[in-house]
Amino acid sequence: MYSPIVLDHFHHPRHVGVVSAATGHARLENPVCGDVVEFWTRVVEDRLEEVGFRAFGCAAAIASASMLAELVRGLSSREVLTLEAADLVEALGGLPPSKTHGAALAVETLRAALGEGVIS
Amino acid sequence: MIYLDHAATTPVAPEVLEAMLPYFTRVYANPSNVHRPSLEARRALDQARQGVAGHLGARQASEIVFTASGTEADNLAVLGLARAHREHGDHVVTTRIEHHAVLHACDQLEREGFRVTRLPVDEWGRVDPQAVLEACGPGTVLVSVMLANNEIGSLQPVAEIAELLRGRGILLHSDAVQAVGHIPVDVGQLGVDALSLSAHKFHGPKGVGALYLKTGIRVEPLLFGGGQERGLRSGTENVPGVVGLARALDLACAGREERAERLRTLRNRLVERVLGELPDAHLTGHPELRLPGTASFVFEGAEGESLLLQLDRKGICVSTGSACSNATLEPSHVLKALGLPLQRAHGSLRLTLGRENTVEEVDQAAQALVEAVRRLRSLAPRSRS
Repeated sequence: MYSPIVLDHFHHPRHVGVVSAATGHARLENPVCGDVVEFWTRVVEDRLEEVGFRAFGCAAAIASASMLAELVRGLSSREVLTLEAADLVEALGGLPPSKTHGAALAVETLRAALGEGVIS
Repeated sequence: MIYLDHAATTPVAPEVLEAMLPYFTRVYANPSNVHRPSLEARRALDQARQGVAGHLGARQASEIVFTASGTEADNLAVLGLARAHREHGDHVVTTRIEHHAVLHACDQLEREGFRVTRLPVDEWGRVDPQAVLEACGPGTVLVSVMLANNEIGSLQPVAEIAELLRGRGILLHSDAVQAVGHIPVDVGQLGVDALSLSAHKFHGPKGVGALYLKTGIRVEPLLFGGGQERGLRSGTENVPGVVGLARALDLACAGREERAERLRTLRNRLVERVLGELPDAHLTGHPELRLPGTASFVFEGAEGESLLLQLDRKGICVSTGSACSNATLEPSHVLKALGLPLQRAHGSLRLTLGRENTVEEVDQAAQALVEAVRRLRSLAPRSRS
């Protein structure tokens, strides 16, 4: 059901946890299935220098957040914002159709984290 | 592999396979003919029917109708009984936690103009017999209440419901697919008019089930053709399957109580370990009035499918009814009917033990489950908003 890439990211998630000196943070929940994703970002001179996540949900939700964190680290904000859920699904080696919402939630949460700016 | 998914299906017992094999290769004749090989196949069917009737406490062997699955037996009962008694009424009563084989058959009845009442259950997953009676009116033709729930293992007060319905001219069906072979099931003591079972839930083969149908009760067939099974289920009989079902039921009923006691001990050990080590973990279903081998939990902060995959990686097979495990993205209808907060329903996990499981396996599974929950909680956002 899941690709080897998804299972690898699910069993060995990368970039878990709070980022020190974070400049952005967001936490979104899918009210239908209950998945929750939280991202912290540290942008320095328009580069996403560090990114971290926590996620509650199925393997697709956790693997999506992990893969997304890996994909965007070091990119400019603009580059990050061009990333779509479909790109993430592709990087994961595909997701079952009923699971693509996991990728969408990860992308949406990261965008929100970047848009939020400095944590008060 | 540690297989803890016996409510989904069970391995075929070696004795069952052995009993079936001759009917694939040597006694393969169609039981409907009159040559000697056919008569031998017919004898095997008759013996199997007699055996199943005996174990269920049916008065006559002819009260057993073999089907191709538990689902078909449920459909034949719900659709067939309601349709055959339509002139007496158009109302059916059932519960919200029935298997989809009953619930979706009831949906079909609604499309045909029947009215269906789906009764709620309490927090343990038990329906109130009095509420069943109160839901029945002059137009009620059928009540269908399962004997044991497949997700949480809770037992339903079917005998009490039968007692309340007695003399009211309302038929009572029970889906006993999870119960037969695991707890005592006697159609006379239960007071049911129809009862469904499925062989693969008690170490028989897949693809064969049966419906007990009390003598004299009319049912409209679902399949039409050669008129097998007294015209109630056309189609050449699955002789090896039926032989396997009967043999599996013999084995399941022999020493059932000792086996159930052993399973209860193992299950309680599992439940105590898991609940003892993990905060915010809950047993679902009734604490005592439940199937011997069923342990079902909800864990806060750990999603069911994620738990299942972590255990699978360690070779431990379990099930979940969480939202992420199905296409609708909603928790199972059973978890919703228990009134669980959505947050808890997401972390559902079912471990169902069987006769081949050992204490060591149960301890290993409990340990792995505790670790999996802790690990997922460590990945989850801290305080859920």
